[in-house]
Amino acid sequence: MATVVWFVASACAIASALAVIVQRNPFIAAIALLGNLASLATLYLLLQSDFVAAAQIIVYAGAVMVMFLFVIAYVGPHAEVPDERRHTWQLIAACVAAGAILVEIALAVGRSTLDSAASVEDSFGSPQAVGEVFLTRYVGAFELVSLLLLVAAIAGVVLGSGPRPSRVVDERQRRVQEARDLAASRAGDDR
Amino acid sequence: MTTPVVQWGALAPDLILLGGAAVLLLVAVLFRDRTARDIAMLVGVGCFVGSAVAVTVIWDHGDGVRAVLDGQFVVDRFANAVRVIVAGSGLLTLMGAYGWARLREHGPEFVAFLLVAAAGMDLMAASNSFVSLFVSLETFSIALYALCAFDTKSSASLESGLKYLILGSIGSVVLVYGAAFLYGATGSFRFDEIAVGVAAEPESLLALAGLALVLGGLGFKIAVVPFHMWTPDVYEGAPTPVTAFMSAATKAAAFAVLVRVLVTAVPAMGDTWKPALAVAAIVTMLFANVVALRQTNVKRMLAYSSVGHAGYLLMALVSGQAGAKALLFYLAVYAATSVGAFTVVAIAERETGRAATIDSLRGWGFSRPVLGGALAIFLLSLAGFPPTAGFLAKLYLFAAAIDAGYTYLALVGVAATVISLGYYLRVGLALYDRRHESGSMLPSAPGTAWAGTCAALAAIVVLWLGIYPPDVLDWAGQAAASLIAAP
Repeated sequence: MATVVWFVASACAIASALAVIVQRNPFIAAIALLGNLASLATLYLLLQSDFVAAAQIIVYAGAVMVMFLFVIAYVGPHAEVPDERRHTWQLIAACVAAGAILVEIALAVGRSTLDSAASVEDSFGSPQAVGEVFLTRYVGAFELVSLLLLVAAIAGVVLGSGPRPSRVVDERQRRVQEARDLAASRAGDDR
Repeated sequence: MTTPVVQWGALAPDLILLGGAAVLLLVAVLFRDRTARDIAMLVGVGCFVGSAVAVTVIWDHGDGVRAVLDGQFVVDRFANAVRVIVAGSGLLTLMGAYGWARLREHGPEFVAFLLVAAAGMDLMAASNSFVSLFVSLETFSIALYALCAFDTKSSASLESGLKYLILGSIGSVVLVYGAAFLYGATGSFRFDEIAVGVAAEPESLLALAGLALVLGGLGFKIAVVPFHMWTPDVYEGAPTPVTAFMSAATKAAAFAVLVRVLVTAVPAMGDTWKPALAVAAIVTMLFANVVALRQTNVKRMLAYSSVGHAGYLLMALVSGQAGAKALLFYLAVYAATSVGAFTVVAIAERETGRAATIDSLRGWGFSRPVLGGALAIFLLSLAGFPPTAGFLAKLYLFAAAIDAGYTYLALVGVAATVISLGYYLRVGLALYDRRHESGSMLPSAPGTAWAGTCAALAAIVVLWLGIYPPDVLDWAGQAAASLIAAP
């Protein structure tokens, strides 16, 4: 049973990953990415990582993908004209490099002794086990990640917002407003 | 479940930086304009100085080596030495950035990002597992992406931030992929446990694939050929104070963690990675210095020069303990030189209001004697002329390589240095071009006094290390010894 699920999920993962990069329509590519994330979550379940699978669905499929789709709907599927110039040598180089990495990894995994299955306890992968590791062995990295997210959020605010209203700008705006008021009152006089 | 023990003392230099960043976020809310900027500068300078002082306090604790947070970090003298280099770069960067107009709008945030980036670099240099390495690398990278794009009115700055974000993410992904393979081969993320696993099975292809990917991922951060593509564009487009900090501090932290990975996690595979790094060193030294000859934009030229210096530094990685000592000395010298050079370039840009090119700098040395003189010293140091520190740094590096049996690397290094004279001297001669000596002076840009102080300080450091290096050499030697046990 597990083997069958593994084959199906793996085939779906590879097919949907291909679809993400081949599809020209960003909306369909995003849906394919959703399928990819779901297939991966299935694989995680097979690896007894319930918590990671659930987090994958909730965070990526739930939150991140909804945002992607929202942005695509907002910008429109054809906002970006694809670059029609063919960079042939770049394409060839990229294929050669990707192929080399594929061969390297296939060799490494194929020749290594990964045949003995690891034995894990029943609690492995449960939210409790994950939380315990976060707060004991990896507590430094865990705290640092919270800082990282804070910095990313502040960076978004600083880069996304214009300059903070400063006194100089206030003064200039006040003068502009005064000039406008004056002009408006004069226009009123003329009439 | 046991409560983890936190070694607060060993982490103090980083916590000071992070605490300062937290304070600055409040400053950003409570104050505005110049007041906010000036408070931010004070807090920033205080934190960098405090971090360096804390390092001197804990330098001898636990014989210079302490495992922190269940062995996820190791605070040894090597990590502490990198902390001092990062703090020094940050201090000089702040002084050089003072007059930058954008700081009047978002000064506290700028300094906060700088502090977080510095803390992330410190923690990365002290990382003893791929988990802490990756998280600290992302922490400083995110801060740097934001800093690169900080000048939101300049499309070059935004482009630089976006390019760095995308290419940096690819580098991170490659690194994580490699770490996963090493985990598969050895069953651990911790460097000391990986070393045991690799030593038991040194021919493992899984570990080899992992190491190759990890080297590629870190190669992005240290910007060696062929992973250097982002460097010229990002360095040129980013606001110049940010470029100064990146070139000095990122290089120090990334090389430090690379050395730690190589000598503590995979020493058993030395026969594999040493030839690979030697080839990368040769290609990087020759390629970067030849391409730099063609640049007219000074920032872009210095970016290629930075790639070239990464090539020289790769030489240190294959040269054992003497190499690690030479590496630290070189990083300290390069940090002072690079921050100083970029700061002077920033002032020249602010005065003329356009990018600094070799032509725009013609005769500039006569109208700005202090800044021009400092830039000349930095260029000589980058080129490796005595009595500047660049000469001694290169000398120790080449000597370490020859002692380790890599005479051909040292010879290529000398050849690359000769090539590099071509572009360093071109800028130096342009600075003092008599034909363009003009009596009239442009009005000095805001913050010139602070940037001038920064440049003068950096120039003094460069000359001091070039004339009387024993103190710093001893310090680098202690740091290298704490990382690599003498055979």
